[in-house]
Amino acid sequence: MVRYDMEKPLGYIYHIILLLNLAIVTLFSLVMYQTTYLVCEADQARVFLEQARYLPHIPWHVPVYAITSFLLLAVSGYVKSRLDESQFVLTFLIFLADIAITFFIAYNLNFSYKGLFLFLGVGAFFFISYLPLRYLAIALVMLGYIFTDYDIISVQLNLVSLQDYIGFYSPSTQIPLYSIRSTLESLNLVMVILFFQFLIQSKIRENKEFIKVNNELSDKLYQLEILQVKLEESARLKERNRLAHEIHDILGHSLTSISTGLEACIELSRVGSQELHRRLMKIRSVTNKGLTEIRRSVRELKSDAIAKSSLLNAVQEMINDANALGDRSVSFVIIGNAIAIDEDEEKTVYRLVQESLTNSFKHSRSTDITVTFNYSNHQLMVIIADNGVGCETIRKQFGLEHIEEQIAILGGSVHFESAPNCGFRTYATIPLRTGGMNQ
Amino acid sequence: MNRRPGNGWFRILFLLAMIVMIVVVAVGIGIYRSRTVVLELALYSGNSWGVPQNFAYAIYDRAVELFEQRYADKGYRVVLRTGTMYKDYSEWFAQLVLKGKEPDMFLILEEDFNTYAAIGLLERLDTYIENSDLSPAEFFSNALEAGQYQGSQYSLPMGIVPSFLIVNNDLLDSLGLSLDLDNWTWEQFYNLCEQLTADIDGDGVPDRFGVEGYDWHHAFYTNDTSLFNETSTKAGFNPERFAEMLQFFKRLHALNQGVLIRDGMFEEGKVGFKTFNLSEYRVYGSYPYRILRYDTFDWEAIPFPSGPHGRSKSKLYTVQLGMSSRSRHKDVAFEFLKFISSDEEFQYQIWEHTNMLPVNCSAFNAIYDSGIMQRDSLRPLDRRFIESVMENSYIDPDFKKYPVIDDYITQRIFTIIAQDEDIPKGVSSLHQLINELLEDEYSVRTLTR
Repeated sequence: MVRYDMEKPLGYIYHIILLLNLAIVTLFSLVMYQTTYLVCEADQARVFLEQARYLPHIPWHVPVYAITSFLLLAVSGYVKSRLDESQFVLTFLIFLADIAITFFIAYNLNFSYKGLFLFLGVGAFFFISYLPLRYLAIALVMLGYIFTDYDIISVQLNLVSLQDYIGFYSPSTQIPLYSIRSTLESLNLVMVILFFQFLIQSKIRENKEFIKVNNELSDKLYQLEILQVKLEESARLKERNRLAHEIHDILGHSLTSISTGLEACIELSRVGSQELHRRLMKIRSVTNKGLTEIRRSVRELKSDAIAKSSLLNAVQEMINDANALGDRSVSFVIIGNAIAIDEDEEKTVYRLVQESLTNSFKHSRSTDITVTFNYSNHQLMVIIADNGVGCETIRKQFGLEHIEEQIAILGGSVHFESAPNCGFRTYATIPLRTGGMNQ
Repeated sequence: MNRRPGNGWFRILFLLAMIVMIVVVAVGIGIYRSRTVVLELALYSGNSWGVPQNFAYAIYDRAVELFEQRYADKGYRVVLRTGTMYKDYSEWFAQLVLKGKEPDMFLILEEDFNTYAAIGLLERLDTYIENSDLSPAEFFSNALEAGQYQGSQYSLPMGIVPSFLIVNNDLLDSLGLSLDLDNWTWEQFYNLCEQLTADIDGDGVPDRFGVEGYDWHHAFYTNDTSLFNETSTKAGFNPERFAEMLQFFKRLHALNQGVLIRDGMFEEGKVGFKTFNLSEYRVYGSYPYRILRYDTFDWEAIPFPSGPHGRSKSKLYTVQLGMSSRSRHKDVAFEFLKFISSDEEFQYQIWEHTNMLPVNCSAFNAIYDSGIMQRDSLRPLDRRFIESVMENSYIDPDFKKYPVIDDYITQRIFTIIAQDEDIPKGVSSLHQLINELLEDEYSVRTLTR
């Protein structure tokens, strides 16, 4: 149980307070007992009764009742510590009995000592774990503490205070008695304060540990989520790859065959019907267009393949595909030591190259395109340059804008250079997270 | 924390069984002890009116004997705790109380009554009386009143001793003075005292006096009714009457020219009047003591003279018995108190064994009717006189601080007279002093008596 293993200092202080209160109760009750006989020996009994505002307790009752009741309190503390936390109702009932016992002790000591209620208050924190009952218990204890004050009680009950008893001793005895009394009472107070100090500390520690464990848990959860996404991604890639292969192998092959067949048909039709020739030419154009579309589709589907292979291989493959179209030449230059970079970086670079090549093909009417990867320390520079018509002003379309954003997210930058008849250049700089040249 | 709950429950059950056993044994002992009722009764020898009493405990022995006879079937026993003189009784008894060893029943000194009622030592008897066949009408009401504190009965009277004045008839006759009891006022009393006071041997100081033992209380109660208000929270006397009293008392005091009247001067025939009580009358007015004192001249009992606004009043001494609120046999103790104060047979014995009068009216009548007084060759004591004295008697106020405040008043009156202060001013200052004393608990508490 919590209160037993983590609150060891609290347990020690609780027991110190217990012993301290036993000492105080014993001292007070013995003083009251002893003083009675002293008063009788001095033949001051009648005067004492005149000063007493209430029939004093029978002398031997005071220590016997007070100390026995206190031992009962100690036993009740032991019983409460043995009870399970779920038996909080029983604990609370025992605690109510404790309050009654404490009142009885206070009555026997003529309400001259109310520190016992502090001891009970400490017990409430120590034993009662169910919060509403704990607060109720503390409220009761506080009421007890306030109303057992001698000055309040004596108005109603007319009791002889301990002061009156001590007053019967000679000053040489009074001074040590008073000092022992106040020392013990102050010590009790200090111990109670210490108890709460430790209680607060242990609560703070408990809280910190809780927060730490909580943080660890949410970290793990986050990692799990990432893993999940990766798994999904990988499954998706696999499927895409399969699709790409199938389109490329089956549809692409068929179209290529058709195209080859059509070439032959066109050669044959050149001599025949003008109309047939024209139609065949139209079909070839449509077929080639379809073949191009399929290739493009496959290329796009396969773009995610970079997750599997390296970026360089993927780019090389893309360039090979472009070269296979025949009418232009694309070259790939790598400067510096190529290193493995993070997936998101790879993806962005791949898209950049892809988008730039597509743009060149579409708009530049170029014959020569150069893709350059320049690896330097913690940075990759990508340059795509063509020798096409260029343009006067760069109109960023959705593709370019998207690429710019992606690169900005990675902390990199991109800029474009172009002039009429001077080609189009794309410069992109991407800082690399993983290592530099030495990696 | 599930540490074998079965084991924990076993322990709790074991503890409960232990507690039950202890309770059973305790209850058993209690029942055994309550079956054999042995009551204790604390007594003193001597009395508040300072008259010797032979065989002081004889009446109590008689009471125990009769009581035990009456309840022979119940087996009640009463043990007397004797051996304490009247003057030591207060402290002796207080020590018993402090130690928690006070007997079930005890005689209460007048000066202790208020304190013990106030601190709760005395058991309140109201409900006991209501539940019994005790009829307050059977008592001399003043005797019952003396056992009341703040309207509740805390003790029952056993015997009473009324007080009065006695007059040396021979001395008055020799001076040619006569008493007019039909017009028995302060004025007549003062005039007689004035004429009585004389310097016979011619040494310049008076050696024959008017009155012995007359103090301000005697004068106060014959001119006013009460020193305090009903709840004893403020002074309740009438200032004009108090001033009259002081004036009269001062004049009376002045007659002696500062000479203190020694105890016994009346007996020597040198004083005209003396405050007296029934007990003294009984002792010195009958054989054998009458030979020792007051036998050289003729004397008789008369009431106190009345002031201009009052009538003849005198203090009533009572012997009160109470029971401890901590007694284990309160019902039986009350039976004993009731027996002592109302059993006709026992009350009749009071005249036989003490110098008191019974508190029970029928016993009183029986004594007068039986002619027992003549048997004791007592000086004639007129029944109507004694009845009227008892009827016109006062008892001391019944609150805890009264004895202390009474000391203050006596001191203050003495200074007013001795230092010849302005009387109305003195009275108002006294009024204020009493109110302050009543209000301020502490000044009274710290005054050691």
